[in-house]
Amino acid sequence: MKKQTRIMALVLSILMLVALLSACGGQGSQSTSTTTPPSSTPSSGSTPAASQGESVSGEVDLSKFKVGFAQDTLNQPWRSYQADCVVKKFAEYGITCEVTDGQGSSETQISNIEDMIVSGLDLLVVSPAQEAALTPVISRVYKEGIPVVCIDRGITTDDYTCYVHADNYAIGGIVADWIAQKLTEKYGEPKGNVVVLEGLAGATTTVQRGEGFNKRMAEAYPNIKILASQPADFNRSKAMSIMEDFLQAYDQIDAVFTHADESTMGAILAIENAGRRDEMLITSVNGTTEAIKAILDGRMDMTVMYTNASGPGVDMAVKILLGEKVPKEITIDPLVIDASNAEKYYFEGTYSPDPMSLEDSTYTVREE
Amino acid sequence: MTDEKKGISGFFGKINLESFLRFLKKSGLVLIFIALIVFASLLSPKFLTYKNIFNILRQISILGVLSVGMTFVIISNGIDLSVGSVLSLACVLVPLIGARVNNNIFIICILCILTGALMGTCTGALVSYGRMQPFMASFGMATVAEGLAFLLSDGRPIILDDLRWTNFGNGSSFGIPNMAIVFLVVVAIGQFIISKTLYGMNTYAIGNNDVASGLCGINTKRVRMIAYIISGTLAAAGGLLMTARVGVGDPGIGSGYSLDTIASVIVGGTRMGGGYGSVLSSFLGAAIIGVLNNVFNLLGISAYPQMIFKGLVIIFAVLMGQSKKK
Repeated sequence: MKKQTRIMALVLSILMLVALLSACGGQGSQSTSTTTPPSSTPSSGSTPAASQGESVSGEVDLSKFKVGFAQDTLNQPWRSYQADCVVKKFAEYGITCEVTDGQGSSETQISNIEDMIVSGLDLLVVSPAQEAALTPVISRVYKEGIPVVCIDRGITTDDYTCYVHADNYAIGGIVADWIAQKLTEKYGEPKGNVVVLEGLAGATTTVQRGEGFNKRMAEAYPNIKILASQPADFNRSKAMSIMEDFLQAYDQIDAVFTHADESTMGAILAIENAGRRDEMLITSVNGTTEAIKAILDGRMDMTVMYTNASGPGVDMAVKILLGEKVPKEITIDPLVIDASNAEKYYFEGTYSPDPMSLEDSTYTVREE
Repeated sequence: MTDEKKGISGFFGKINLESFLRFLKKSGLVLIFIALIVFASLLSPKFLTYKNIFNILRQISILGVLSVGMTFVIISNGIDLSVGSVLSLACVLVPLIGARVNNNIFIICILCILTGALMGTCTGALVSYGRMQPFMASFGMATVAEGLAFLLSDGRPIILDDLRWTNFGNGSSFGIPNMAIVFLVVVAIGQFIISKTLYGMNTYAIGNNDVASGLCGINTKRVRMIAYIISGTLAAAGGLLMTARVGVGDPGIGSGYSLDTIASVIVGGTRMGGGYGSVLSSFLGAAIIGVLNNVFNLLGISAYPQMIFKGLVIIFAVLMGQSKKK
């Protein structure tokens, strides 16, 4: 009995130690820190509105506004970074933004939104886990008079104030175009073998990027063959294993298209280990600093910036809070980063050069 | 050679190898594996090459190391859902310890392994002394470990600048990939412990009949707890191997490993309900899963049929094992 209680005491104290560590640990404790991109990017100072951040807060005290961001999941690097960006961007205006974690589940995210509304919100920012599933709750919130800004993913109806996002179909298409152009330089015409490492099977981004890519290839470049396409789940290790198997199966691969930089890093390792870097183009999506560094080092060829839309999203949100009119939808064009311009977007110590302000990007706007 | 089992003394020495072979033959798993290899080499000429075999060995080494630990737990009639999260935690700790505490590889490994052992101790104590259901205890610890991994890494993979890790992970010694060497050594030690030591015999005993073993004088609580400590330690070792493979401390990288590990142990022939199985059979289970994944990719079979087929294989393997019991 005594021994039993001693062991239980040991376990409980270990668990309490863990809880204590959790309470005070984890503040940016890693080599890739979570700072905003250095002030050399225009986004930190300028806003689309003519008035600068300081003068706005001089007239109106923004800190009285309560804002919440319902995120799909914080268990993914891109999304946890997106949440950080949103919070930091709001903080620049002097607004505190609450963040909730939907843990990847639509139901959890719906509950989070309902709870936030109950505690009182002046504006909701949201990135739905699943567009259709979140539409009822978001349209209810919107119809009750609370403005809604959707970033990166939207809903199936028009019940929101502003929707800022990148275009996954266009991204897929642009990768196809870039590969075709490079292969034309190599072979004199757009032909060759391509393998694809997809994202999470069934995820919206995967489906849209895949469709954009496949359609463009089929329509414009019939001589480029897609040999194989497997989901790598945005997982570095899985991507590495799949790429190893592809390298084993196919003697000549001209290009690799990976849906996310995370997977690309794994694929790069496999390709380098096999000594076949020179054989193929390595293209990707996301635009993380790690990938841009890899481009500068020659380890990969191109990535398309997939903006998390937090910069323009928050700017629009503030405009809404100030009572100004904003466009219904802002679609940000894809930005290709390759050896020709990687230098410009490389900021050491950041996760990504995102968020970029609207001034840095080209975009199309749809008014109400 | 005696093949009647008089309690736990029947598991002595060489006899275990024979009874293992018998049980394998009875379960037909080796035949399935051989058939699989034959099929694969017929369907794809690239399958039976040194490069591909070594790839497979490297790809299953992490799963294999975790499976060895899980074997102990399942034989003791338990389950450990925390291995994936402990793997992620160890993986994340490598760059953190290297940057903040000490860059000596030996020290980093020791600290990570100790963390895994600590996690295993908690799970084991909760099961043994707290009398919690293994499912719930390990599930709770899994969530704690996962939370820690994400907290310490700020939710993002930490890039490891130290090239020694990936050099090891991608290198070979004596022509065999380093990761495979680690994996095979762990399997050998694990099989030795489970089949030739008193502790191993006790693990089978408590899995078979907890009450009777207790009455025989075995400290069932301690044996059980140690099984979880082994599992946690090997999960951390798997995390170290993972860091060597991908060169980052990634808090999400272990997700899915817990269920995959359980699958490979079960496919190998060890049964839920305890008292039966061996480390070598889990090695076989991991190999079967590794070969399946590899063959699917070589043949370009798309993802959804892959999942269905894999699920069917798991069910089939378990059924085969079950039907031959008593």
